[in-house]
Amino acid sequence: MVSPELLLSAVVDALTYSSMIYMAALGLVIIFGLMDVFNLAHGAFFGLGAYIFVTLFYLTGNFLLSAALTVLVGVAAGLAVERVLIKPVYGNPLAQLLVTMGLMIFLFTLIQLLWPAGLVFPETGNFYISGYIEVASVRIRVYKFIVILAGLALFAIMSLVLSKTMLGVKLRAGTENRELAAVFGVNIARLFSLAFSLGVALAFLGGALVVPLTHATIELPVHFSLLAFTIPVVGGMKSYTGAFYASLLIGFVDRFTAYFAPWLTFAVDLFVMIAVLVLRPEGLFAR
Amino acid sequence: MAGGLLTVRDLHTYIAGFHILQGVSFEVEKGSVTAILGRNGVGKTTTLKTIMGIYKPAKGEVLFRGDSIAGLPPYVITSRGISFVPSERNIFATLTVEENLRLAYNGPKEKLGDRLEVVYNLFPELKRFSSLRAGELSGGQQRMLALACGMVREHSLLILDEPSEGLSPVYVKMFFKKLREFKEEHGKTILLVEQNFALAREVMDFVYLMDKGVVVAGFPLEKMEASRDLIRRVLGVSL
Repeated sequence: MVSPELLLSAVVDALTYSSMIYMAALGLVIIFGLMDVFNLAHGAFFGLGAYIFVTLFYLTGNFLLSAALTVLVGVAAGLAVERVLIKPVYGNPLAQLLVTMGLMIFLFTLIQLLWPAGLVFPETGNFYISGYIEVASVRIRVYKFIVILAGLALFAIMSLVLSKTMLGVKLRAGTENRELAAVFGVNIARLFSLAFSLGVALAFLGGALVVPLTHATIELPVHFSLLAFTIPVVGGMKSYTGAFYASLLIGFVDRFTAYFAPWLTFAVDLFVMIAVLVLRPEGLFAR
Repeated sequence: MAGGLLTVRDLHTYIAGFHILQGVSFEVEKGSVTAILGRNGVGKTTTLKTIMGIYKPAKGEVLFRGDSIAGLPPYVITSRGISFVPSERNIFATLTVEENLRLAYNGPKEKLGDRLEVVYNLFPELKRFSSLRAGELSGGQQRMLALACGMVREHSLLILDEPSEGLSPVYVKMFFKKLREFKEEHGKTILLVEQNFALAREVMDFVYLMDKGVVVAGFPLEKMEASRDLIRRVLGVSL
C-alpha cells in the first residue's frame, strides 16, 4: 500500500520534472516546427545556460538579474549560431544534423574546459530558492513550486503569443507552409532568425531555472538532451501544445517509475517514445 | 501592348536541372484581365512562381511598374503590390478563416476592418465561419478563402493560378462571378493562369498562349476569332 505522503511527494516531483522537461524541449520544438532543423545542440545550450546562470549568480548574488542576463546571452548566442552555422545549411537536413552535432560536441568540450569540476548552486538563505515547507507531513522544497509555476507560465505565455498575436499567427503559418507564408508577405528569413534565437534563449532560461535543483554538472545537458528529444516524438514533431502534454506524460512516467521501480527509470521514457513511434508515429497530440 | 503594369522579358527558369521556362515574354496592362492559357506542364505555374520570387530565374527580366523584381524574395514582391493566389495549398488549414485574412492583409492597421468588410461582402459565408479553422471548410469554401486572401491584400496586381482546378461546377461559376464583381467594382488588374478556356474567356481582355516553356502568341479577346487555328493547335479546343 502506497502511503499518501509518498504519493504527494511523487506528484510534486513529477510536476517539477515535467516542467523541467518542458523548458528543455520547448525551444527544440519551436526550432524544428518552424525551420525543420533538428538542433542536436539544444541540450548543450540548456547546459550552457545552467553554467552561465550559476556563474552570474555568484557574481551578482541576484537571482532575477542573473536569469535575465542568461536569457540575453541565449538570444545573442542563438542569433550568432543561426547566422553563421545554420543559415548556410537551410534545406539540407544531413548537413544540419552534422553541423548541430559538431556544435554539440564543441559546447560540451567548452563547458568541460571552463568548468571542469562543475558548479554547485549555493545555499542562498532565500525562502523561495532554498527554503522548505511542510505539506501533509511531507517536507518539500519551495523552489519546486517555483519551477512548476515557471513551466505553467511559459505554457500560458506561449499559448497567448501563438493565438493572440501576429507573431504567433506568423509562427503557426510558417510552421504549416513556409512557401505560402512568404507569398503572404512573411519575411521567412527574419522569422527563422527570431525563432532560432527564441528557441536557444528558452533553452538557456530552462537551464537557469532547473539548476538550483540539479546543480551544474556535465550530466545535466546530456540527461536533458535525451529527455528533450523524446518530447517532439511523443507530443508531435510540430505541436507546440503537444510539447506541454508530452512533458507532463514523460515527467509523470519517469518520476513514478523512479519512486516505485527505480531500476526502470529512463528506460520507461524511451519505451513510451518507441511505443508512440510504432502506434502513432505522428505523435499523441498532433492535430 | 505598351507600358504594361507587369512586363516579363525572355524569362528562363530551371527546376532540378530541367529547362522549364525557355524565354517567356508577355505584358499585363493596367486595369485588364490577362489570361495565360496552355495545356498541363507547359510552364504556366512556373512562370507565376518565378514572377513571385519562389523560383529564381536563370535569365530574363520581370518589371513591375517599371522596377525590376526578378529574383527578389516573395515577401518583398508581395509588399510591392502583387497578390498571388497559388492553385494548391493556398490557405493555412491550422489558422482560422479570420487569421488567414489578417495574415494576408499588408496595409495599415486602421484600414484592416474596411478591407475585411469588402471581402466579407463578397463572400458572406466566410464571415459566418470567420472563427472556424480553415481546414474545416469545404473544398469550395477553402478556394473562396484563398481568393479572399488575395483580394484583402493591398495590391495593384492580382495573380491567380488555376482558380477552377478541382472545384465543382457550382463553385466555379460562383468563383468567376465574384472575380468579375471584384474587377468591376475595384478596377483591379488581374493575371490569370487557367486550363479551362471557356471560363477564362468569360473574364479575360487579353490572352497569351503558352506551349513548351514559351509564349507562342498573344492577342486581345476581340481578335480571338482570327487565331482559331492556333488556339485549336495549342489548347486542343475549338471556338
